[in-house]
Amino acid sequence: MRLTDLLDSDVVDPAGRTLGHVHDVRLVQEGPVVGSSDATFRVAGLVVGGTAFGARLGFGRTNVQGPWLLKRLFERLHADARFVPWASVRAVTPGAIHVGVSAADLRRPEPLS
Amino acid sequence: MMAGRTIDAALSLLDRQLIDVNERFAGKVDDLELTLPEQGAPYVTAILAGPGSLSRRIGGRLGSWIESVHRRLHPLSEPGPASISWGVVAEVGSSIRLSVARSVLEVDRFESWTREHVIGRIPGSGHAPD
Repeated sequence: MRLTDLLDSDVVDPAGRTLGHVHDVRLVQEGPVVGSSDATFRVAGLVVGGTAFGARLGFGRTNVQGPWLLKRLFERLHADARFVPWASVRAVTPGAIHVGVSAADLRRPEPLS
Repeated sequence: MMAGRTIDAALSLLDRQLIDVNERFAGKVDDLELTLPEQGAPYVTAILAGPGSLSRRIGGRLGSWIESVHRRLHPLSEPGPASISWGVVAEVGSSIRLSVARSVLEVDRFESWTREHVIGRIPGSGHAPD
């Protein structure tokens, strides 16, 4: 599987409703050692939102420095972002990721460490 | 690299420059290979870099052209991006630092070809601008 298979995919709840699409994939460094490097990154979950524009530029993450007006605009566009832990993913199909949670179950992503 | 560090892949890894052990540019991150284990979440096993995977993201006629050139350079193998094992990633920062020289990576062949056949043919490429 590739990262780009996940990015921009629709995220669909058990009732078939589209919760949004994948803005980003959150990784945490704790996976098995690959080669001689430190522990690799494991997928923690999906950052899901309704509007992709500006999100991947980083605006909307509250700890990103940037032109104030643009930052405020993209924060509003990104305000609906939610985090879906990987454990909630049921199936990955082309263009759609089926999850076992509904919109009400989701929380905003934690600020990045 | 500290354990427990959290990053967002598209924001922090995609399109980042790869810098080899000799401080030379070794390509850009076009994609990541994720391996799904028997149990648990997928983990990153390789960086996909160079024109083979970039063509997928560019798409269209330009992407097809890039892919056909790549295929011409790799006639015996499956066309695809250069795969750089995560095992040679030394550091993840504003750029991705590798623990090997770029000459051992697949990305280097396309770069050499491009330098020789494309950039080398542009008038004036042999010397610095006046």
